[in-house]
Amino acid sequence: MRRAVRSGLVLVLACALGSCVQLSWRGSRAGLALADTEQEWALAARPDMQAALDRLGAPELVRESEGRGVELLWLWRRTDGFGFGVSVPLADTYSANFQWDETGDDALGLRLLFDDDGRFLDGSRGAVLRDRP
Amino acid sequence: MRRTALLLLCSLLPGCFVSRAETDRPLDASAFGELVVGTSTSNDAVRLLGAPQDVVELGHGSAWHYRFSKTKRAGLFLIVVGLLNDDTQSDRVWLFFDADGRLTEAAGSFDAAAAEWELP
Repeated sequence: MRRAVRSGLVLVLACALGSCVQLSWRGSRAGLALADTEQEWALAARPDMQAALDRLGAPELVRESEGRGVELLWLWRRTDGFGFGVSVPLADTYSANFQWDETGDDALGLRLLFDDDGRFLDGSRGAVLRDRP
Repeated sequence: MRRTALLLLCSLLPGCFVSRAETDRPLDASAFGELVVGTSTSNDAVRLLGAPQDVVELGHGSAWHYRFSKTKRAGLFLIVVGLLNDDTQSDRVWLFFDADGRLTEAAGSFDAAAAEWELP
């Protein structure tokens, strides 16, 4: 009986602590990454548009590139984060808060540019700063 | 001991969840497979896949975009510790037509089923 009471008290204390201290891990994934070998092939082989689509699959984005031709973008993103927060009530209407957050964001992609006849013009790979026009 | 374990279990259960969200309808891979580059037309695409989600105007034609997205989200909150993860994957089809509406290039990726529930 005494042990059950002690366990209950620990649980209540932990729940109360939960309102003051918070630790969090977050993860997010969008899209599947193209293998390095596939990206290297696309840049080295300079395939025509249909050959690139056959091997790499459907891109995330297609857009016209300033009169040069058609730009295809394969994009994928992985985000991981850790957060820590403490909130200490000081008075009825005041509390002190501390929040620390660290997030790593890997947004990567492959860009291939083709002329209007589907011939390879240019390509690049790496970090993506902005994936939407 | 058993009572404590039960109490602990009851306190943890409300702190976990899994959810799934879908945007638009799943794409039909077999319908996409019926389209033939050089032969099929934009009318065939509408008949097989319906209206596209987006149309991108290009220099000498257009690109039609079909998409279905699936997001799986999982979370676990243990008193002071929270774990949250989401995974979004999609089925995508891009069809490229010339000015006469003939299919010149096509690509389909069907990755929505690869979305997973997992924790960080």
